[in-house]
Amino acid sequence: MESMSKVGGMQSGDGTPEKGDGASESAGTQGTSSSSRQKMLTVTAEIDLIQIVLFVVALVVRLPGLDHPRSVVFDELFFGKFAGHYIQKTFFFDMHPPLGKMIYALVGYWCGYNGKFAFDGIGKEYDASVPVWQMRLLPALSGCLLVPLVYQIILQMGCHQMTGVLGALLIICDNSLHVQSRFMLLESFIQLFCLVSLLSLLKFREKSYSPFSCEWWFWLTLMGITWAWATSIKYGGFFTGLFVFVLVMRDYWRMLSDKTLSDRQLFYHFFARVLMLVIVPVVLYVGVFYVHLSILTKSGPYDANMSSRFQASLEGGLAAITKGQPLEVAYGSQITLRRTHGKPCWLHSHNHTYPRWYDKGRGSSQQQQVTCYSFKDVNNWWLVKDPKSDSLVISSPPKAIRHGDIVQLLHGKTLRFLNSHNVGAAMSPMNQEVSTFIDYNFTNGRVEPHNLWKVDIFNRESDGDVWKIIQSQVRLVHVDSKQALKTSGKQLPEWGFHQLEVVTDALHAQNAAVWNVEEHRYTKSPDEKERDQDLTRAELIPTQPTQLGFFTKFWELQAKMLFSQHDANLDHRYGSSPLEWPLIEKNVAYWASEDTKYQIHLVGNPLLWCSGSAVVIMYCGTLSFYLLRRRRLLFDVSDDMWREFVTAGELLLGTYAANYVPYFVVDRTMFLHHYLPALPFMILLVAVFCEHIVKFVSNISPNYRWPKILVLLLMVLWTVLVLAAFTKYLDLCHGKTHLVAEKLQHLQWRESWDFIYPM
Amino acid sequence: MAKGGEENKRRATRRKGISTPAKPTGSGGSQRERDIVSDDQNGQNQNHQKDDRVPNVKSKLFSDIRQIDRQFGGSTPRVPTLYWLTGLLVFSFLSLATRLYKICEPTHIVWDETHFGKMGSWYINRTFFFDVHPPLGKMMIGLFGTMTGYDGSFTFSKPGIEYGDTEYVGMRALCAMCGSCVIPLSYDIVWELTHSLTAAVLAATLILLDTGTLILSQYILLDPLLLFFIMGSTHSYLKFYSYRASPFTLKWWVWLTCTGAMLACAISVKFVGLFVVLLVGLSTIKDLWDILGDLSQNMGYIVNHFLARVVLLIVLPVVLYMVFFAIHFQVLIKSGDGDGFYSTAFQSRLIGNRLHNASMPEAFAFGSVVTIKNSAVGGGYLHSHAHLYPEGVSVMQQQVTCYHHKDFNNEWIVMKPNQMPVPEDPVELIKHNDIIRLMHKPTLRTLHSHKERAPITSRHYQVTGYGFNGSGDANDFWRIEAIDGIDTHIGTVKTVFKLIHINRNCAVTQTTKKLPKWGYEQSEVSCNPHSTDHRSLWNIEEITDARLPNVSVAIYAPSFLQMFMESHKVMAQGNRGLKPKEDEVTSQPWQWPIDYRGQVFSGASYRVYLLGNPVIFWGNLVVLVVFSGVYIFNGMKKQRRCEELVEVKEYKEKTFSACLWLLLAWALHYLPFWTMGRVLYFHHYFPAFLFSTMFTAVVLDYLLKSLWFWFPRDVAWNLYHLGLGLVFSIAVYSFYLFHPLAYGMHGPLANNETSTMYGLKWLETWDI
Repeated sequence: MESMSKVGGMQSGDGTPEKGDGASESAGTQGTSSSSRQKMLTVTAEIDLIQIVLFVVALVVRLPGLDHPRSVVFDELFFGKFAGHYIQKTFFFDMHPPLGKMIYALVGYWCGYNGKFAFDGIGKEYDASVPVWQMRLLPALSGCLLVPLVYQIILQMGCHQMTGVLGALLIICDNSLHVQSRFMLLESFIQLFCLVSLLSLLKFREKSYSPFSCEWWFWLTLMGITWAWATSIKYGGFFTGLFVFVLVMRDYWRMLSDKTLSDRQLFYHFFARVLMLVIVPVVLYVGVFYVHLSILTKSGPYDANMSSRFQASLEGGLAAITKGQPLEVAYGSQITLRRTHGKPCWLHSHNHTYPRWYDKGRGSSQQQQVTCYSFKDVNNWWLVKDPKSDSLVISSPPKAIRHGDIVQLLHGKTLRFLNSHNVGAAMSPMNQEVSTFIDYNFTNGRVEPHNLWKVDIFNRESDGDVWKIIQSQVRLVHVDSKQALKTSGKQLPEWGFHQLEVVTDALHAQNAAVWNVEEHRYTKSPDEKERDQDLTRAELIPTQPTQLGFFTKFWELQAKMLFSQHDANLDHRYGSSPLEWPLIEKNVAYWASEDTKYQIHLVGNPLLWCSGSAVVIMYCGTLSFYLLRRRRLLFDVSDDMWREFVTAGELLLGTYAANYVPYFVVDRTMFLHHYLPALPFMILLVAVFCEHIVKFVSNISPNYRWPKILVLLLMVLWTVLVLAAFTKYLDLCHGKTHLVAEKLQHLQWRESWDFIYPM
Repeated sequence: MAKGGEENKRRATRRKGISTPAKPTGSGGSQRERDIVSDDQNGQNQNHQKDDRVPNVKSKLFSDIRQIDRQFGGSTPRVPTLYWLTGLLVFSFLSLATRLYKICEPTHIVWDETHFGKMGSWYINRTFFFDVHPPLGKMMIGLFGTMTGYDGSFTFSKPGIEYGDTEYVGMRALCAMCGSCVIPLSYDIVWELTHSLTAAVLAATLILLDTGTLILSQYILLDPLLLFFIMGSTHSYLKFYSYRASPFTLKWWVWLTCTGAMLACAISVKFVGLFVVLLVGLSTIKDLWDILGDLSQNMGYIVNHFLARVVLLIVLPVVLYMVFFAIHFQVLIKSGDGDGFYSTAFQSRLIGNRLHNASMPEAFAFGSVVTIKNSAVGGGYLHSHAHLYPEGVSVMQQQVTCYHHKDFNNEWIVMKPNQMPVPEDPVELIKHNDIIRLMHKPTLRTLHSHKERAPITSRHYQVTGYGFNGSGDANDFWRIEAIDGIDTHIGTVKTVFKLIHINRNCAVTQTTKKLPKWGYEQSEVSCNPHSTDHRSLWNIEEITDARLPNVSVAIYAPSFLQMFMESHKVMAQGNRGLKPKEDEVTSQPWQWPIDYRGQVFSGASYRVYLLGNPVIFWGNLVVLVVFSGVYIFNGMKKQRRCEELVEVKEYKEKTFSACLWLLLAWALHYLPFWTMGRVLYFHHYFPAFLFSTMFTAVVLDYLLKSLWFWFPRDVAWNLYHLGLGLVFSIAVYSFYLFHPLAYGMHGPLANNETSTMYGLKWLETWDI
């Protein structure tokens, strides 16, 4: 990126003694008249040395000692593990999209990582097979690239070079960016892509006078690509791209009023933007998943998150079990029934009855319990019986069950019928209890069985109306009450062994009422012992392992990633809420050596973060002040300054808010690092706002130089203090300083920071 | 920017030139008025003069629309015409008729009547209770009950219980009357927005014929009241806005006050009323912005406008809201089943509570037995029990925890550092900075801390029970440090203090963490070296000491403001607790506009099912899509500077701004639900639905009138009436089809061929 630089024609030593080497301006200055004299095969190069120096400084600060500590740090636990899964081709499930982990997998693969290291817990030492340094190099590099990018963006917004230097320095001096970029984490990629998006927007706007030129296309495409990539790393990366997209569309809307453009041209413009900012990103995003699913073909420990048919399409795992199973469920089948949606569990019964009385004096039927059990178990087996015949054996040829057929289900171990009746269920008294029927003879007469169930295959449109294993999604509708079998989502207490409650419900159309057959075999012999043994051989072997189309898998994965509740646990030790972020009320412990002498924490540079948050508020205040005054036709700043001020706010405050505000409505455990994508924009705003102050001061006192010099001096002082704060908290970033209690106490800027104190 | 500059220049010239008084813009008044008003706020209409002079055939045709409006609405919209008045009366009558028809049926408790009826009864009985909603709605229900002879004796135990002799009809009828007002209000809202009688009639008709709104209005629920206040606020605000040309007149003040009062009522019924406050707030900001831009007025005038709104739209509602709470606390003075949610001081004012009229010493002395409560919200009692910290977690000494229930293990004896208390000791009250020891009364161990890690918050020191019956070491000494009232002795309940460990200089703190199973999941107590934490503040709650004189606890009774704040904290906690469980069927916001699933109000033989009239619901969606298309198309035309007649342009601008305002209202009442984690119900959508339906009426009216843009005059005229007739007849017929939803469905379910609802189960998800 740094080769595409802009000439800094301005003097840089303008009263700010921050960087002495700023004076070394040796750029070609003939760029302005290039259109008039076209020479063949001429390369005009401009090199902005300031930018390169800044980048080198960033490299020097960020890169040393990347492979320390040589053990698992924070979320490396997941990202490193998943990279290993890619190399091993084992399927895994994660709620973040795959691109970030693919990058690590690729680096690991190139450097000879075999993916076998077991990521058991934070702090576990890496063995020699893991190329730690190489894998950490990439995020560190992208973290360093933020520095010249910020510089570029500031210049592109029409600001002074020193503002660019300030912005870049602030990026270097933030502890959180420093820590976050030095480990196998995802935020620095997102930050990189988001900033490139913003830069592309600025460049694209600049090129709007020559539409459809190469550069115009380049920057437009880059906007789309970075949007897709940022989103494919973490969904948090979506918002910058969205905001940039909205701005592009608004620019287009304003372009409509340009009468020199014909309708046709306008259509081309529209089409180009939609192509590059909608279609290309969508294709890229789906493409990432295509690669993801084509690599991960083997089953692994994460299978259970997915549906049976998804699992069956993976090598090993369920596919190994279900291979060779008869395809169609018939009278005489032995089956296990799995709840299709939600966390996996299987319809289960065992030789225990419901307690006679519940807590509030409500009685039960005292029949045998039916539950949904989250583990594979011999008690999950059920026999499918034809109500009209007494035989439990498969007929020859097997009579397949179709949509609408009536069946009875017999629990395999206890041979009792699945039954439901007008008794309130244990935990959900509004629903009917489900039990396996025991032929009680009470004083007031025998209880009657209600054990007929209608098979309602509701995906019969796509998968046929024969009850097939895995594919068919069925509802079991109780014939007598017309209610459907479902899990209530509640857990039974101790007498039910904390298994999940099963009830019937009048409402059929709900996910909890959907079941599918997972394991399946035919009962061949009427003899009970033989029935238990003669299980595996079967005819009607499915000819091939289940093949699922890419989009079927893609949609299932998407739905699971976006809509399933992953951790309701909102009480993580280092969790924090968005309101606590701007003033760093919580840190995140990333790593601690076993004796806790060495620790790494994610904390921001307190001075920088606080000033940044103050600038955000000051900017809003100043903006409202100007707006109200302008409404009364009182102009405090020149039109140019006003325009710069508004544009900067729109871009930077907009992207900042777009990356921060959405977290207020998220309902999961969040950490300080969720704030990091917004952080570079805040820092940019700080730099730009500083420039505005300087300009404002020199505007109101054009005759004196001292106010301006005073302000500049204050800013230099502030920058030095930021630098000092950075070095102070650097001890928490590297894990190389021996942190005794006094030292920790010294670094404890806020009481709420949670360090690990040695005792 | 260029445009802005131009505008500024123009405004500047206007400032210098003639300063005409502010004109009502876009109000679509008489021809004369419109001519004067041609220079509108945004200065878009520079071409007026030119356009007016161009004779155009279409202009004449467009006058048909004017004619329709004039025929029914009259030329000066301020003066209600006979047609307008007739409409208002007809709709008032019809809405009362539909809402009161079969009001007694079903004769049993329906759905949430079990809650709100019960709470109404509690007001009548003056029994204290806890609810997540503010009090106004339930107070009104209680009032309705008293007015109509209900004595508050019915238990409202659960839905489906027969009322028997209970006077429930009065409460239902009065709720239904509030609910009926929604229709005439919507009629006038649309009238104020568009001055088109057709649109007003359409809006009122569609809302009248919606089964969902009907059902929701018929029972003892908060929703009819809420809908009434929301529509009332909107209406008052629009009335107020319509007087913007003559500010500070009597009517202006009256309607402004009315708006404030209505807003207060809306938010005091349910917090959903906040959305209408937002709507009015945003509109007011826009209004003030316009006033600020009127350079012919000086700043004093603008400040007056600003202050008037601050007082009547912010201060007045806040005061009213608090007044409602004051009444709530005044009325409910008997102990009920909601006591446990509130603090000790709060409970002491409830008749029948154990703490009511109780008495105990005012201060404590060496030798007193005390319970010590943490002062943070949700703080527990300092507690210990005869169990040790487990090995490997902390040093194995007796646990000290925080426990939230009253228990004899919460009792501590206050002792001097060096001697055991003797009952005959002279009374020596405890003061600020006294050094004490605290002995746990049941186990006789002393509160102790030392240089060891606390079990969970490892940067704090451990707090334990140590020694036995007075033996111990120097780590048992604590300094009591009062936060205020330093110069006097330390009182109960009100004085807040810290317990500082002498040796380690740390403060006893209840951390936010819970101990695991070995600590019985009680809260962790630690000694915090950073003693600024607000969780390290404690107060004495109960004192037992025979030597000290008792005073009544009543002196601790909280002030109104304290009760007000406390009940809000408790309400917020209650609302947070309403989380759905996994697999529980909950209603989700996406289902609402498409009428995906209703809510069973009454089962059994007289079935009532809360479901919107699907034709109107789906119609609203279609209209929304069509409007988006039309709006974008028109926006593009405007961006491309297509020439348009002034009249047409003005008409469109006025209509579109009305549409956008209603759309904003709909979005404000609907979209926030997407972000809520709590349990949601279908009836949350109905405020939004009302706005959406009014929006539909305005858009339909516009679409029908825009026939004149596309067709010759005669054809347009005919099509216009045909369209109107079609809309009305479809609405009426759909209501005829679905009216059993509200007026009781009997017999078998809809999928049975003999059912009266056969063929009407259009979606599988409807339980009819």
